[in-house]
Amino acid sequence: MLYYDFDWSVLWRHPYGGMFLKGIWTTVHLSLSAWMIALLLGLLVGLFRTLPIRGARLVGGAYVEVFRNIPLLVQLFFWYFAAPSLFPRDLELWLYGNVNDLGYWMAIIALGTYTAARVAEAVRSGLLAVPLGQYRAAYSTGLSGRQTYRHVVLPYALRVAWPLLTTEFLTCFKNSALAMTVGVLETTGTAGYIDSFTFHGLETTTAASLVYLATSGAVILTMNRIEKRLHIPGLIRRGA
Amino acid sequence: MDWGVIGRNLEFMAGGLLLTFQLAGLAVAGGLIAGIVLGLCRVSSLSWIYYPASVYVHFFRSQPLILVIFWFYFLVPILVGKPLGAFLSTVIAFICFESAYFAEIVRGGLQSVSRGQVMAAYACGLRTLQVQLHVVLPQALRNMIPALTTQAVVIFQDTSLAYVIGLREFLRRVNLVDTREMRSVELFLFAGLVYLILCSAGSQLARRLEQRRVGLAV
Amino acid sequence: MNMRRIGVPWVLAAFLFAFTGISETACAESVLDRIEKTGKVNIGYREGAVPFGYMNDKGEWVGFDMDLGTELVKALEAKFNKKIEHTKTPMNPKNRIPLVANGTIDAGIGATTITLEREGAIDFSLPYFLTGTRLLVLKGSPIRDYRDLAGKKVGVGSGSTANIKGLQKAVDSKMINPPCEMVLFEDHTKGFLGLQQGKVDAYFTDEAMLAGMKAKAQKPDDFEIVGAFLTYEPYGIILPPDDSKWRDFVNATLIRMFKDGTFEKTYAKWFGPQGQLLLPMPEEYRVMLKVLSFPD
Repeated sequence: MLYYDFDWSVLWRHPYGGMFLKGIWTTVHLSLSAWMIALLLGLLVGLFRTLPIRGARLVGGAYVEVFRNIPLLVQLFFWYFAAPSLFPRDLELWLYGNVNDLGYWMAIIALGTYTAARVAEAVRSGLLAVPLGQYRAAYSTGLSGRQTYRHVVLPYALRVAWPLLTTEFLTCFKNSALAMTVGVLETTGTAGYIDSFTFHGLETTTAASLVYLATSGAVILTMNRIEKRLHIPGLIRRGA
Repeated sequence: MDWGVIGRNLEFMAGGLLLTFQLAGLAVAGGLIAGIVLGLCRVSSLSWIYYPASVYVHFFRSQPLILVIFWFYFLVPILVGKPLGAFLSTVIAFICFESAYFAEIVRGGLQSVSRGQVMAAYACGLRTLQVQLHVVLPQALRNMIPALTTQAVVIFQDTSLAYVIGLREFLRRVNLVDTREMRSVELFLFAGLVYLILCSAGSQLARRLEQRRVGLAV
Repeated sequence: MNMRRIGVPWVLAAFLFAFTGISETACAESVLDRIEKTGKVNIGYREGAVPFGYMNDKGEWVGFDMDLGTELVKALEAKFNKKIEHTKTPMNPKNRIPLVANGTIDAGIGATTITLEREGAIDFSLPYFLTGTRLLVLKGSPIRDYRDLAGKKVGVGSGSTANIKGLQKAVDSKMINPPCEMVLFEDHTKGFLGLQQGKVDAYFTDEAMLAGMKAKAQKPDDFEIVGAFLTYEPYGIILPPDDSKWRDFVNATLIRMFKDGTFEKTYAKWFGPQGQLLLPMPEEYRVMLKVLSFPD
């Protein structure tokens, strides 16, 4: 090993300790905001892909195809570097002038729309797992198409899709690290940023890795607990 | 819009695509081999094999790839006292990272092989490792081909992250052209299209393989 | 997934990871000896710092710093009397110091300001360039000086810590009040793109760099450099720490170049009337070079 002076105090020393906490906090709200978009949009697209309407299926399919087959980093660069110029120049300038942290917002959009495609696939697999009999039973009890989806099909499908959604959430959480490439100081970016002032990258990167490790662990344990309670008796086992 | 920017720099950017393919190829090959070993460890009944492999898989699956790349380019050289260089460190980072994902696919594939096969193999007098290598793994791999293809497409997309350490793969070169020509819209749409075409073809292949597999099973 | 099985690996992973940080000291051979043995040298250069290291219109990687590096390799070849393979590694303000510190590159020639803080992690050669920080704005911008930055967005390189600290000091001393918002860019060329698009109102860094960005713009007259020097920025070559043999060699090569006119010729090639941009050597810079022209 090369000579290296360990100084773990960069993790809590002023002003770096505050920076690091702020970075973690940014990772949290950035990925949660993106997840909200992904969940709503993904639910919609996933539904579209299973509707008995050809146009809707095509739109849903195209969305998934495009957003899944382009690397997130390319999408992020598109949103940050290119997308604003597609607007009228006045709007573009207004955006630059009035939106602080443009990189942050664009990262939310990019991550949200990208993750939505993956959520849509999870939702679709959940929807496809709903037996036809469920629909028929719901209709025969007098529920409308909308009510059938709202009260019977979706709750069932989401319970099936739950483990997949947990994985996608964690992927979204990890992917939020890419926001550093557009100047957002989230956990990974902050680790590098503090390094460029203190030259203690080994400590800051270790800390960043532990943050991701701990979060993933915590989320998986919590979700497994919820998953057990949501489990539809007899269903998942049969599928496995 | 000035689409001429693509033509003017096509050769430069295509050179990056070559590196992208090299990187993806090495990552898939290395990741798959390491993933098979790890996957076998993950179904082992011996705890001293099972636990280290599980720790490894869970650890890497919890990390963002970008951070793993940083580890190998900036920090591992400090720990081992020897620099790896941009390309080699990226390849190692990818293999370490992707093998954790391959391992889970392999594990799923191994578990999908019916118990009867295993029992029959034991009954023939094969030993545990022989059973896995000669009976279970070949069948499992065939079942896994679609999933592996999908993962290969993911890896191809992941190579764009080599951008962050300055390796001149496709996306890096597109960015270099952009800072000179200031044509972000055209260039990033072009980059997106290139990835879309290549990855769609890969996804399509995976889907076709899956259909054939399901067809065969029925 | 089985919960009981997952808990243990997580804890183990955390431990395994924490212990990778146990330090040991190893005695390292001088980079100079290694270059002689392997016949290879790896030098880091910038990709987005016109005209120090950048991509030209043909997609070739060129610059003032690269020419200095080539001179250094020539000196190595003369010393060892054999061909030395010159590997060029891209670096940016954020990773240049880690890359030298971890041994990936043997020297980093990339418009790096010598600071005492950085000296703690790596070593510097003698200074070879002298400039100061100013602001780049669109022509006709109301921003004329640092005071005008109040409440505005200012772009800075995310690893240009000397710049960031200089600007922070101006904010802390209430010179810029209310404070400006700093927008971080990976490299200066990206920042310049941001300035042109309107993402930032001004870009703050060393004048030599600003002049380079301006000169390479499609319409250079649309931009102007304003404000007095906020800080002085002497550039040095980044070298691995505690390797005086290699450092002496680099310094001696620089001094020889200062004395025999090679340096001036290289400077004129990039900053002279026929160069990429016109940046006459300021008097302080001339004096600095004269002072550094130590006798044989």
